[in-house]
Amino acid sequence: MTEQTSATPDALTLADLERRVEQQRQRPAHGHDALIACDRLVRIFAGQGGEVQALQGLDLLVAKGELMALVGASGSGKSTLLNILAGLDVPTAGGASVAGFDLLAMDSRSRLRYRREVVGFVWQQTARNLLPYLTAAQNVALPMRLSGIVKGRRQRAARTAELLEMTGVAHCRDRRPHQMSGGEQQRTAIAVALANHPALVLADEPTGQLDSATAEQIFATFHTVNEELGTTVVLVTHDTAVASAVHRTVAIRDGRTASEVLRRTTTDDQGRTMTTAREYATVDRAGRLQLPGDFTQALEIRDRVLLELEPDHITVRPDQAP
Amino acid sequence: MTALPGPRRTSAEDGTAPSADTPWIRTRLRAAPGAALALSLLVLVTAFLAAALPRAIDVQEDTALRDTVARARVVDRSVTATLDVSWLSFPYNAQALVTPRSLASTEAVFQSFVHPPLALDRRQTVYGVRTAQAAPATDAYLPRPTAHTDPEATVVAQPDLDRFTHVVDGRLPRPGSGTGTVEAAVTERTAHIMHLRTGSVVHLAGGGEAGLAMRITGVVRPLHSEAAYWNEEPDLKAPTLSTVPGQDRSDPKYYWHFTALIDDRAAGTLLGLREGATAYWRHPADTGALTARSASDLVDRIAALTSGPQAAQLQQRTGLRGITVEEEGLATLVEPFGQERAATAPLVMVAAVGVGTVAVIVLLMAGELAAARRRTELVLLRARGAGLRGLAVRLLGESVLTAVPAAAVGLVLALLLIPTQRSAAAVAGAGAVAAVASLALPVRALLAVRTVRPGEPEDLVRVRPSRRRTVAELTVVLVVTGAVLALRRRGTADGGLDLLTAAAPVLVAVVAAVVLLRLYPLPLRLLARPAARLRGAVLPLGVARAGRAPATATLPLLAVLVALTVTSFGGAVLSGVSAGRDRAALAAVGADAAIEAPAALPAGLAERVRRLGGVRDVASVRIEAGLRTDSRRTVYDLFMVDPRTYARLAAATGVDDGFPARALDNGGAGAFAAVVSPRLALEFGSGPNIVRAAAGSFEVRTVATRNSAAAATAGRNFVIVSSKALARAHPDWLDAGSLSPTALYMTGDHIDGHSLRATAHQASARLTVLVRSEERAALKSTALQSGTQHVYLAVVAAGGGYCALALLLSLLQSSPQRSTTLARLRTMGMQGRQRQWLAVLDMLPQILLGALGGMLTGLAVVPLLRPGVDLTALAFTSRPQTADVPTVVLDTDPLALVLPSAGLLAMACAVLVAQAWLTGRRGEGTNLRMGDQA
Repeated sequence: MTEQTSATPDALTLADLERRVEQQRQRPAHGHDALIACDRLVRIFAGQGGEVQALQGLDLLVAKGELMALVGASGSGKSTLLNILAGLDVPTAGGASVAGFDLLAMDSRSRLRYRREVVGFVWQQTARNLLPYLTAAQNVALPMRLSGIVKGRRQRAARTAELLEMTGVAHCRDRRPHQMSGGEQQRTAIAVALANHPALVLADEPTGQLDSATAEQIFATFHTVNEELGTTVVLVTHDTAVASAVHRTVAIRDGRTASEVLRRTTTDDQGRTMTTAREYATVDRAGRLQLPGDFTQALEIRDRVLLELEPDHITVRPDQAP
Repeated sequence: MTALPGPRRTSAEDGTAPSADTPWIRTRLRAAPGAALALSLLVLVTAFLAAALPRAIDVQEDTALRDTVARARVVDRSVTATLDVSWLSFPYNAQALVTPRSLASTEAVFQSFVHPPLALDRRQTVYGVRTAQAAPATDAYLPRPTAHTDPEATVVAQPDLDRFTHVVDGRLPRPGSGTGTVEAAVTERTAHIMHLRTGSVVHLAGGGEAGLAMRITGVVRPLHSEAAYWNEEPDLKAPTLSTVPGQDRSDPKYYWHFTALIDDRAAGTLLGLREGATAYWRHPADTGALTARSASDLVDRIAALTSGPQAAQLQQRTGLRGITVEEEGLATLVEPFGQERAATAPLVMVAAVGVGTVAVIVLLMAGELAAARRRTELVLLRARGAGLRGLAVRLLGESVLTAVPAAAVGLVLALLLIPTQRSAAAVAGAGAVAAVASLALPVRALLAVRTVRPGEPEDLVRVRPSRRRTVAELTVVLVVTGAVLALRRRGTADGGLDLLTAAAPVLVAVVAAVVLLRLYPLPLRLLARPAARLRGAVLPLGVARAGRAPATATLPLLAVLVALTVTSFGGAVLSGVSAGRDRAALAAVGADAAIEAPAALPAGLAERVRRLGGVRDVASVRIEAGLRTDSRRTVYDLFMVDPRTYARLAAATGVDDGFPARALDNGGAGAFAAVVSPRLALEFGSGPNIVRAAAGSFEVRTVATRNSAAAATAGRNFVIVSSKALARAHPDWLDAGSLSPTALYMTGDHIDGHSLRATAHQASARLTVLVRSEERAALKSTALQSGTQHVYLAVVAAGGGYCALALLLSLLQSSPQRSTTLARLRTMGMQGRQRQWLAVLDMLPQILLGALGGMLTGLAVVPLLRPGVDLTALAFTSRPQTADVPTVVLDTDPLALVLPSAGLLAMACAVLVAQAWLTGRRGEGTNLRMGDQA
């Protein structure tokens, strides 16, 4: 193949193409440094009344050590996403990888390993997280014994004490679940979820059955866990109070991520900390953007919009010419 | 994978960090002791029953056999070796053969041939020597009932005379030295009747030889008078009066026959009498060692000993060529027992298989209930990282710890309480129960949590079961139907009942359960629409709920159906046996009562009998048996009857409803009308045939053919003509009395046998009176038959208990959901009474289904098993002689069909109402919260 140098910058040579491909290949894969990488995730339930598309091509990237919340109306697919991330469900299409495990292609043995080593789970009903006939300490020690990761009785006991201490329920260690309050039960559940040094802790509406004061405590516990252990925490919740506790809140709508709220704490030059929370719209890999409902209604945007690229922003205009 | 936990460490041992390790099984069992205890109890009872059944059957069979044998006389159940010893047969050593030592050594040789199952009672063995023929005693002072007829004496030498007698007068005889005289002792009764005293001398004629003079040295009283020593011979204890028929039509002659006892060392003197002596070794059977299983072996052994290779070996080893072994009735006692046992085995096998299935179902349901109750916990464990293998090991450990000790205790109880020899079957049964109980929970739980999906709504009430389930059910139905059809076609090819036939009720119940469960929601769903328009709330709700069939209802329905089927099978057997006996009694008598005479009945007897209370109708019949046709080939009985009364008799006994009385009356020109049996109809053809009766010959032609006739013996040919027609045509025969009836057949409801016999005997002493109710009452069950019936009833009762338990378990399974629904309805304003009705309506369709389905399968299984089950050996104690007797078959018993189903319905309704009432009392708060946590 002869190389052709041309004066016109628009002409594409084969060498240019080859270079582009090489660059693209060397570019790191989508989400390679993230703990959770969901790429156009689809989950379809085949029910008796027809199909239900719970997730319709969801993209999500969660970095290591993030404290994140997923919010959305019921039926938006957040519980399905959580089940998939916990390894309890298999997506129909798309890609999802958590800590190097490909969630679509796991056999039962690796799924078991995933459930033991990578993920800790906290359910909404406080009674479902704990075995009713074991004490709090025994409940925390149970996953360690089931998986064999923490070997030795002394190590297990030490870790149990440490976890209970961290979640603030050390005084409940010898109580059975029915002897503890709801908040204490949930905090014990968090300790149970942490038993096997998981990289990821998932919580499905952990404060659903609790009052607001206790809910605050729970969120504080998650915060502590995230800070001290560096565990990535993903919460699914309705509770609006969560927004003040987490760094990032992702809103899911109709099976896709719609918008995000990021909370940043800045310290200005006088030492005052200021927390700003800003809502963003999510842009997926293909560049698709979901406009919030009240915006589209206010301008009566229906089928198409006009886009204009400015130096530092993009303008979106409705179709009708003013 | 972690191993199972070790012992718990206390905080004192450990120092600062208290242990968080939990011994899994102990903690789990301590957390739910009630459930574990209930399961242990269930397993204990089931294992006990499973181990007790084979042992109970063994015990009952052995007891029946031993009773039968023990009730016979000692003579009838002994094995005897005899040897005729005389100077003729043993010219050189006859004397030596009758010495006690020789007898003892022969006895020892004989005993070497006695091995189990032949068990002879060593303590009751009697051997000795007696005179071969009773010798006449010629002394004048002896009593002679008939003049000139000498009494006869048998002299017996048996060892151990001193142990079995108590000397009342004189002393025991001693061997004595001289030939021609011997010392003897007699019993008190002998001495009293024969006028003998101490010191009397009795001369026995030798018949050509010199004879023997017996000197009575003592009078004794028998000790242990029931022992075989005194009972092997019929006349040892007292004399018997014998008769000899008189010559030339004179009266029979009577004479006494008595026995004298001599010392066993003096047996040689007996050789001097006519025909010499007989040495005998009598061995009564040891009834305590008889077992029913080895009955046929026993018969074989006895046959080998009496006429088989062992008889020759015995002769060889003793060196006595004349020794023969006989048994006087042991084989005939034992042999029909083997046949009866083979006939009762199917009954028990059907019951065992059926109740075994129900018990297994109950164990499986218990496992399923436990798995369902613990589902959330197991799902949690799986989500927290428990592998399937670890979970299986833990659950298995729990189950084994609960089930195996209970099964062991049940087995030990059965072994202790029911002592018998065989234990293998009992151990196998208890082991199977333990295995099923241990595996039920782990297997069911693992199947449920194989894939962990906690997010799915766990709605137990699906409208339509999954496709995989449909395919599985269809496969099962097809396979089982094929098996059942093959069974029906096979019939009784080999005569016995094998496992497949015994499992037929279970198979039919499986098919019925699957099909019924699929079909029954359909009409309910159709009813739901119109029911929704009703005014109240209970019916529409109940019908709608009932129309959604829960997928887990197969097992309890199957249990109910199997239990009901087995119960109705037992009822069918009993009613079949009863019907067979009824038929046999009727066949033996011919009507409700019969009077038969060898020749003509006395005049006026018919009128007198007709006036007796309880007699509704009397038919006079003249029966001449054993006539032959012209070709001499066929034998038949001739019946001369009054057509109308005979037709009434035939209708009343149910033999023949349409007896052609009128056709018989039309005595056409020449040939008389006759009703004949089919074989004779073929032979006679359509033309006239000659019948040679006692009165004379006449012609008959066939007007009708019947398979059976009233008062006719089954299997024999018959010709029935009208006696009235004959009397009209041949008045001289009537006058001569050759047409007078020989038998009277009476129909009536409560014929009194006593008054009938009195009337008959008044007329003549040689009449035979048979009453059907008496014949029927005489057909009682033998020990084995009634024992088998008891075992069957016990097994069926156990099955009923298990069926009730299955129903309770299924109610328990659906009770949380039902309680929640009822509590919610209460918050919506439904009143107590309505809630109770709703609770009943909820489960009622399924229970009704079980009851009705049980009746259906009970009805269906009888024609299915009829070709395979022959109840003749159960109904009668000995086989009937003719092969034409109709076999005794299963008969549907309506009571056994309806009663258990009704009882089941009542019990289920009671439990449901109780639950609804309890729910009402407890308060909605608890119920609703419980529902949330479920």
